[in-house]
Amino acid sequence: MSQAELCSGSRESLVIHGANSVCGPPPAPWWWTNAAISVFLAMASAFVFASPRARHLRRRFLSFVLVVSLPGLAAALFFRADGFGRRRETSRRIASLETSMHAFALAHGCAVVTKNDCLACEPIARFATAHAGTCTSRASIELGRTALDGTCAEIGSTLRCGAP
Amino acid sequence: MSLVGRPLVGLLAILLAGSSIDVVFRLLPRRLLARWPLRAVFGLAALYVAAALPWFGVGLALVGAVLRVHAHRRASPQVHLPGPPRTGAPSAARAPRIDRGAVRLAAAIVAAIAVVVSWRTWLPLYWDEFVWLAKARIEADHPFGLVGEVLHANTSAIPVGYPPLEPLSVAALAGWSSDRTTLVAGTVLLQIVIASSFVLLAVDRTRPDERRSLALGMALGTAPLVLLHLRSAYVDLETGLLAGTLLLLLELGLGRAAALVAIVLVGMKDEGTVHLVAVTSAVVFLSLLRRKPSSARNAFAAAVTGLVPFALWHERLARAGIVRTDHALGGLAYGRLPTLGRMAFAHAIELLSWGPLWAVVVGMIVAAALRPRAFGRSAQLRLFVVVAQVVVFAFGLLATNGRVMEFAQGGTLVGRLLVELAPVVMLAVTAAT
Repeated sequence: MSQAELCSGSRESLVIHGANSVCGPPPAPWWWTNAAISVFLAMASAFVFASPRARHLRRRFLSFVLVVSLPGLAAALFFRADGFGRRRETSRRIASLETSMHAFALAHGCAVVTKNDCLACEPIARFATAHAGTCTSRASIELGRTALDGTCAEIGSTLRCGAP
Repeated sequence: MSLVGRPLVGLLAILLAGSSIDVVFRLLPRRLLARWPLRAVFGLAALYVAAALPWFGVGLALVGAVLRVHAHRRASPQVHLPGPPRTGAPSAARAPRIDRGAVRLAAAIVAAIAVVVSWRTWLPLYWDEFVWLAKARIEADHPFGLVGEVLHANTSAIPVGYPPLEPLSVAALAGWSSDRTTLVAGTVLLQIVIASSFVLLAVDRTRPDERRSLALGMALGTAPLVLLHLRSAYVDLETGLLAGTLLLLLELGLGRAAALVAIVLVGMKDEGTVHLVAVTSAVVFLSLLRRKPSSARNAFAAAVTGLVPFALWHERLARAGIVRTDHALGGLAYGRLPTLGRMAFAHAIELLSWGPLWAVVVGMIVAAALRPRAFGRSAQLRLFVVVAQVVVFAFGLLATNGRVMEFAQGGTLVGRLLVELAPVVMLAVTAAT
């Protein structure tokens, strides 16, 4: 899984990388384009801020370069799994998994994750089973690869989420 | 009821504590727009010392009382509110009442911040949101029990040894309810309090005719990634906003209020101490250079007030046998510098996350180095603080163990440090335009 999957809307990449960047590092050609735009903008800023004649242009310059933020804003608001149109489905699945694990942990006093094939589920499980002190309960949680789809089944003192 | 009622009770309790501190020690002038959110920040400082360092709290209260009596005997300290606008309108410092336009502006700003922050999924979504809120849930289930838990060797409150103020604050502002949605409400309130303190203080510090520059600085600094952090339970932006608030309070000459903000800054995150050292040392250095001993004294006092709880917290960790692996210090590994430089460059040019922010900042720093006189004193100070933050962070990253480099290579470090720098950058851009 790569960070670039953030903007294709994967729930896993959202949980793992969602706050590290908007869409992750750009692929090679875009990297060079970004670098060129940034160097140009840095040189233009240096000129506008250093030149006494361009002093009156500072506000206009900044208002103009703000346009560069628009694609990122659009990506953050629309393209990710937490963007408009997708976030209801994303939160429904994550909430379902968290609710199942939390209810199970409460019912048994506490619970521990004994098997985890779902990296993105790790922090969710930590939140759902948060408790003070050492957990002495025999209740266990097993998280399969597809646990983030949010379906869990209780079998005895074990909660199994997702396909193994 | 729980979603509204419990957080409301939590917020009122924090405000009551903070207002009591303000009233007793007379920390803030009445006409300060940021007075109420700053009082809530003082309440968070009180929460931290009450939960984690009670004896430090007692000592601080005694020192505060002595300073209060001393200040009472002398003339009241001068507050450096902004001078007259360039148009020649009356000075805000001399104005007998609060400017009504400014109050309306403040209300609009807080409302805008509240809308943006609360317009989120009322569920944690990103990795560290779950981690921070797991600790907040433990605190909510056992009021004032989190500190004991994190000082326990086999704790489930991991990662171990981190300063506990953020989860303490979220739990308190959630009215100690461990319900998921109510905890998110606590997070939302915390972001509103800290962001409002920063923005309103920036308005307090800005002349009316410079508000367009402030709006531009804020717009440029609120890059897409900063916006995502504003709507999350991550502590990075909060840490940066508190560093900006500290700088603004020092600029305004409100030294004792700055000292309380310093406590909150180091209580939120380890990086808070880095910001504290960077901001205060930059202010001390430039104040001495400009022959302003009172500003240097204020900054030095804030640094000491923040560094004492930092040292005491680490002493408690050591006594409890808690071994920190994430941010442990070692020797300076200069060999990391090229790798870190490459990573910083790669993050800064990521236009989808940052827009033009870092390109403009680099340009401004180059311009300031070439022609310092093209910038006013305030812009020079703020740019100097940004450079100081970068330098202290660079030394910090070279001095920490290999674990930090693992974070950096996993993509979870550099972007977040840039988020922490964004608020002071907003101030620098504002002062420079």
